[in-house]
Amino acid sequence: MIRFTEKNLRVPKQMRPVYVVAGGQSDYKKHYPEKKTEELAVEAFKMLAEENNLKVDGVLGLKGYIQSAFYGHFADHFGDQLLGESVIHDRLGLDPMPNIGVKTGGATGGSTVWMAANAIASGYSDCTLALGWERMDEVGTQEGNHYIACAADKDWETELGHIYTGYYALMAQRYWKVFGKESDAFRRTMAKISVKNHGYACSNPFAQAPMRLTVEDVLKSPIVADPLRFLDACLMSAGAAAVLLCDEKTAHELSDHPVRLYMGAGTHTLRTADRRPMEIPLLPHEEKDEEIKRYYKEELSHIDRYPGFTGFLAARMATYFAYRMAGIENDPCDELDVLELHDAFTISDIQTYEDIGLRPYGRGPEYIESGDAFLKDPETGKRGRCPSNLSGGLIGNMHAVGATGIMQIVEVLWQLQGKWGQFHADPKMWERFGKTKPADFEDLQVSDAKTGLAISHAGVGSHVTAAVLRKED
Amino acid sequence: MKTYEFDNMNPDATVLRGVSPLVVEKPRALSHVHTYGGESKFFEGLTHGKLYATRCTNKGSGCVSAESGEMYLPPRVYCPDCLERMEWVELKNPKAKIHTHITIKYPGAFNRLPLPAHLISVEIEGVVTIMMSYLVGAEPKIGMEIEPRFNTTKPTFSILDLHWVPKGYKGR
Repeated sequence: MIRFTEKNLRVPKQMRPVYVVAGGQSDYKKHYPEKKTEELAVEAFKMLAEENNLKVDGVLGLKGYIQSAFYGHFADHFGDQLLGESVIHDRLGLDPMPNIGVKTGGATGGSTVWMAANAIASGYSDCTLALGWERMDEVGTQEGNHYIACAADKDWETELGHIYTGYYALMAQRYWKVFGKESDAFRRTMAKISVKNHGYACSNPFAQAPMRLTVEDVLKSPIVADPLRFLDACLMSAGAAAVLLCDEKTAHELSDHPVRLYMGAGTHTLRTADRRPMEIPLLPHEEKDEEIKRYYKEELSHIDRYPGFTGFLAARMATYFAYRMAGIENDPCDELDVLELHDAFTISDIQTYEDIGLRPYGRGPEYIESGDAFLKDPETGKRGRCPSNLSGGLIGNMHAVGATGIMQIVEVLWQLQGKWGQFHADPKMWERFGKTKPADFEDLQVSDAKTGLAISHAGVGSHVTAAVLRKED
Repeated sequence: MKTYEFDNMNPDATVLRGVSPLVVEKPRALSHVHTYGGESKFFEGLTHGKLYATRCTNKGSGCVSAESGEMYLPPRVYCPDCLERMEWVELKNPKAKIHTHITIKYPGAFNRLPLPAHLISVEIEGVVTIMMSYLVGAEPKIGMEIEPRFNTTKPTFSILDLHWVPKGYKGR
């Protein structure tokens, strides 16, 4: 659709408030032969039940509350198991309570929480589990890339190289040329995202790829599909993540620090080819800003078609709805304290900054260059306005696809609850995963974080969910 | 490590990869029998050197696609707006240029494109979509004018039967 009615754009309603109460994760690895997928899922659930200071008697106590389960698993062919949801549900011992599988490619994790949230909002359940997993290590990297490329249109795109990075790079190249002007400065901004996220992963015991890098390291890494290099790209992972959602009464019964959840979602065509030009749907703060409206109408519309290959309309629609649900009416950089974004590639991260309103379209790199994206700007030492991907994101932490969007919400939850240190700073957490807490460990708890955002994203923008989490006063 | 004997002549046989934890390899080969259905005209057309798009003829209905008269390539059996059947249109001597491009050096498994492969997105006059294809005969550049070539002699009956070359290019 390129024309909307008011009915299409009605702000989604929750019939009652939804709360995120607890989270849990496995650690993440590219190859994880030591454990079956089921074990990773059980470990994520046990962390959720036993280590979130819930006012219940561990796993058995918590199971007495759960009325439904939503499972996120991107790829049956990677797992080589249909109805994997039923396998996991059995291993968690939650039968015969109802469960359902949710699949939306890379956004599977976010979509799973979206569906679970709707079950709470509607009154169907008072307490529900959203848990996601992936394991991508049963096939080699080339076969894995073919499997991922099956999430492009099989007759029209997959045959063209069998590599998703290529389909992304077509967008990246266009953005790089149109808005980046092919400049070295722009390329360095992209590299800074990889440096930032691999660096934050160094303080995350769950993370797969902690690395202390320089911009030059990124720029010298091998090219996958120009301008994207190895260190511009996300990881392939095995792992699991889980969150518990509740209605208001149950949330407060279980936890002293539940966090409100608002979720919006959007989609766009699987084939980038099919993206027809349209007007930019405005976020609330843009609607109030005459200068941005003038810039979009008089300047941007002459530079490139919208959304074309440079914007992710699905991300714009997800925040279009989620910001209005959550009452985020001003500059999101002022309203949001901590973000977890879907940094599949450095360039798509920049594109997303614009879709979700951190900067106007065409000006995404300013979010990095201003220092807003950092907890502490490495150049000025100043605190950033809304730091992103303190977990390390998909580039430094993990991309166990069905778990990814859930991991993001878990990390934002712990930040808002002030529990980041409990799950990241304790040397025992590092030892649990066979690691040693590093000497250069940084405290990445965002002080006084009140509102957070997690963006889960699929395809070259086929599905996006936006989760706004807010701490209660 | 204890040694085991396996019958690996059977393509479905299990191969032992490790014992602690126990890791096994399970090889397999299978075929999919896939139809192009209502899009067959496009793929068959390529084998005759013809490029087909579709357009909506449902004028006066409020349908955006019918109003604009713009064509779709990839073609669609049904209009994405009004869902009426679309009309096939042959694009003769299309005026086309490169919208964006990349070069693939490390493809996924089952790739049949010669490497390095120049993937391109193609803007065609009168076509509202920007289809994905590949370029032969030059390094791609945004804005480069191009024309189609078809694999009519040994067709693959896939999207690979269409590629593009710089406008005026003499080779295939």
